[in-house]
Amino acid sequence: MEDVLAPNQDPVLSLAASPDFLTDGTCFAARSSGLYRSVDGGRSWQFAYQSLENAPATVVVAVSPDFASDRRVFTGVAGGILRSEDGGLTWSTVSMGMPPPLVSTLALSPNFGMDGTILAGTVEDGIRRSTDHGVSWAPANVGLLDMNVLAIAMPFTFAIDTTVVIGTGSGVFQSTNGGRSCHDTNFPPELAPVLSVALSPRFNNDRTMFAGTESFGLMRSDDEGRTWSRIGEKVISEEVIDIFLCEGRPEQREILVLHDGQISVSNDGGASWSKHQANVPATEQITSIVVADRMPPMSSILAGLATGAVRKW
Amino acid sequence: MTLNRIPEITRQPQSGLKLQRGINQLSALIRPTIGPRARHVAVDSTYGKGAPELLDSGGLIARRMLQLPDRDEDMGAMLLRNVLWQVHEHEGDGTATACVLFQSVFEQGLRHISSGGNPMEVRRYLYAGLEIILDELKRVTTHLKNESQLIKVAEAACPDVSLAKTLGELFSIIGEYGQVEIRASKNQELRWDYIEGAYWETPVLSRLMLAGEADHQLELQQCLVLCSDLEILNPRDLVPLLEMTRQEGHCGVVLIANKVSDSCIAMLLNNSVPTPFQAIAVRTPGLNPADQAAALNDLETLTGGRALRMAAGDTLHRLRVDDLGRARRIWVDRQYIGIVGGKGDPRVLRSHVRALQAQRHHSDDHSTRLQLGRRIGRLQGASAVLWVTGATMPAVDARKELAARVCSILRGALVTGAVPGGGTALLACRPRLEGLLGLATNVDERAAYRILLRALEEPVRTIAMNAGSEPGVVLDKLAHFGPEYGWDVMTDSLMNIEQLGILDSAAVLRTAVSSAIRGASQALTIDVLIHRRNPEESMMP
Repeated sequence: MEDVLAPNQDPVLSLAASPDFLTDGTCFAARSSGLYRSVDGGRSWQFAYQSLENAPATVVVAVSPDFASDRRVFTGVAGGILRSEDGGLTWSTVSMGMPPPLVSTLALSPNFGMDGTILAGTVEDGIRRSTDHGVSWAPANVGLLDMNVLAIAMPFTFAIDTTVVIGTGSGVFQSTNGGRSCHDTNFPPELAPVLSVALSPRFNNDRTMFAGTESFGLMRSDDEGRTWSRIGEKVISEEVIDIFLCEGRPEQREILVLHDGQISVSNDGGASWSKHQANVPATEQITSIVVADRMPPMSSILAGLATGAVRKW
Repeated sequence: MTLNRIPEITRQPQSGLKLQRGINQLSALIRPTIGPRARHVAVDSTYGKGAPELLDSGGLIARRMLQLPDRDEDMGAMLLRNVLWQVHEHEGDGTATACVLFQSVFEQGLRHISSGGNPMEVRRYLYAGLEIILDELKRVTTHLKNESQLIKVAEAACPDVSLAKTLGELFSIIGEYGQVEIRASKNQELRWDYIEGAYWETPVLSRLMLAGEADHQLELQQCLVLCSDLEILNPRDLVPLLEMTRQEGHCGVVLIANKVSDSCIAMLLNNSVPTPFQAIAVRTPGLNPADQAAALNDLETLTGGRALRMAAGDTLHRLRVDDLGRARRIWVDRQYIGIVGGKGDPRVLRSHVRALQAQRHHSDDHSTRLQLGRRIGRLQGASAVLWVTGATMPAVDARKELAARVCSILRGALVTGAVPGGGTALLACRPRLEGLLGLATNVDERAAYRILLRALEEPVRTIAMNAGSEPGVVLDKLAHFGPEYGWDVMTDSLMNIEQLGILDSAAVLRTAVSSAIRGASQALTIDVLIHRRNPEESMMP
């Protein structure tokens, strides 16, 4: 694959793909030099901030689940959020109050088209919440005792189960009212920070959640955060940056994890693990991934590298 | 001058009858206030002028009733009044239910004792029956999961629909530890504002520090804070603090101290120029040493500093950089200080909050539990201001008082859950008591269970009477259709409980039932009433 993001050691911090990536080929890559956009499945890239005078370093990018109709894209930058309504061609700055927060993570509701809910995690200001598709924002920090938010996840069934899981520097918090307030879980604080979180696609029934830590691998809870156990410790030893869960039938329990610069996969809900075919040589390191199609097998993957390149499988 | 009356003694059977009359007189005031078709009670203005006070809270009505003319009857009324006030203080609601239960238990119990029953035995079996009732109430309790359930609990306690909806929404966000400050609004809209972070009510030590600030509020960002209960009198003591702040590269410092002299204030003001460096001083939060110690404990945990304490011999001379707390934002106005994004270790903060929650859970003292709840809510950032409107000031005051009661009810409901409302939950306790009645052979035991069975119907009877329906008919229908059904007063029809959607706070009902039955049982054991000599009346103003 041709890589027009020249290997300039500007790591890819975040990747996002259109829900219809396999047909429209639209995806985004966030780097400290700004945001890059591809419309041909990652074969070529263009700088997405052409309309802006100063291109801000971009930490995170997220695409609307209804991208095909609303063309909305959001990026987290130092000072707040940039919002696009034309597929990333033009951008507007969204005010998030003073002092301007540093947005570290974004989570859009799976039901975004109807409820307009987005949660933005910040480095020092906790969570900001919008329910009007990102136009206005308000703090949502009731019960959040740690303002350093590193990861947010909502279940696939968010329309009926408004649970949100929040990974922070000191552990995991949970909200049962769509992020309006949250409470502490029993995640062991000595295993924090928590860099990534994910909820089972069948969370409504199985109440299973996952948390990826900075130094202690992957943790799993089957009782909504009351108790946690480590899984995959033979393969996943330290930093878990991202977790992807398959959205197929209940018996299809594929989990894909980006950890320690590589990708591992489990086909049995985390009991056993193996290296994913989409792995790069040891000299390179994967810094971010996005799974374009969550139906099994989760084989359509984009991976951003520490060198700044993006690879596709 | 009035002659002193000699002490009076009243014995049975007069004592029981007189107590009953007093209880009945007070109950008659409160009965009309129960249920959705309730009425108000008007109480004369305290100063003799102005509009009467309109009350619908049994606890407040009882409180306003000062004395009955007959001393024996007055004793009965005061016994009931005391129980109702305790329920009101503890839960904010449930006093009318407690009142009708108390009256029913006492009346029936007195009848049994007058015909030869043993009051101590009756009390024993009433207490045993109470445990059964509380157990059954636990069985029908469900924990509140969402906003709509909270709104239903609020609606059951509050005839003001918009207020109930607003408070239900509010408490679905701020939770059981949430703190709500209720203020009168100048606008026509009932609304609430979330207050981000933790805040304490404490005055700024000089209003000059807020001069020129919009809304008399100063906000400092990425600033340092020194928490203490010291009295700082010498301006030279502040030099290390100010130097440290500038060396650390911060453009603001907040000084929390019990007292700061005028010369120290002047020094802080002078150091606020040239901007952007700003220094501000506020009093240590808390009205007494214990409250101040608690506030300092919370502040140092939240901001990551170390509070300087007078009792520990701390002074500003040995101030170190690590003693200073940090925060993302601190705002100060004339009456409050707020901290948003305190930079204390979140792990330490979480442990601290858990320790406070455990302390609260194990405490039996109501005011201690309230205070700990306030601290937890503050640290969790669960604070809001509710702006209440009304056509007149008395209407606003009444609405504020109602809002405060509903807040207390919702807080209790979040902890202990909710039960089917309208008296239905109490009827659901009857089958088990009926079973015990069938097995009992002791005459006092059988009497106690019959008393309780009859008393448990009393709330539904009173609600039906207040609504203009025939109580006997309603109870018959409920008995026929079973515990899955409740009676909707507004449509005068039976409905499935889930469809009915009326929920009462389990905490309120449990306290009301427990206080009423215990209080009435205790009153039944009274044999002799003794009145002291009246105090001398003085002709001097």
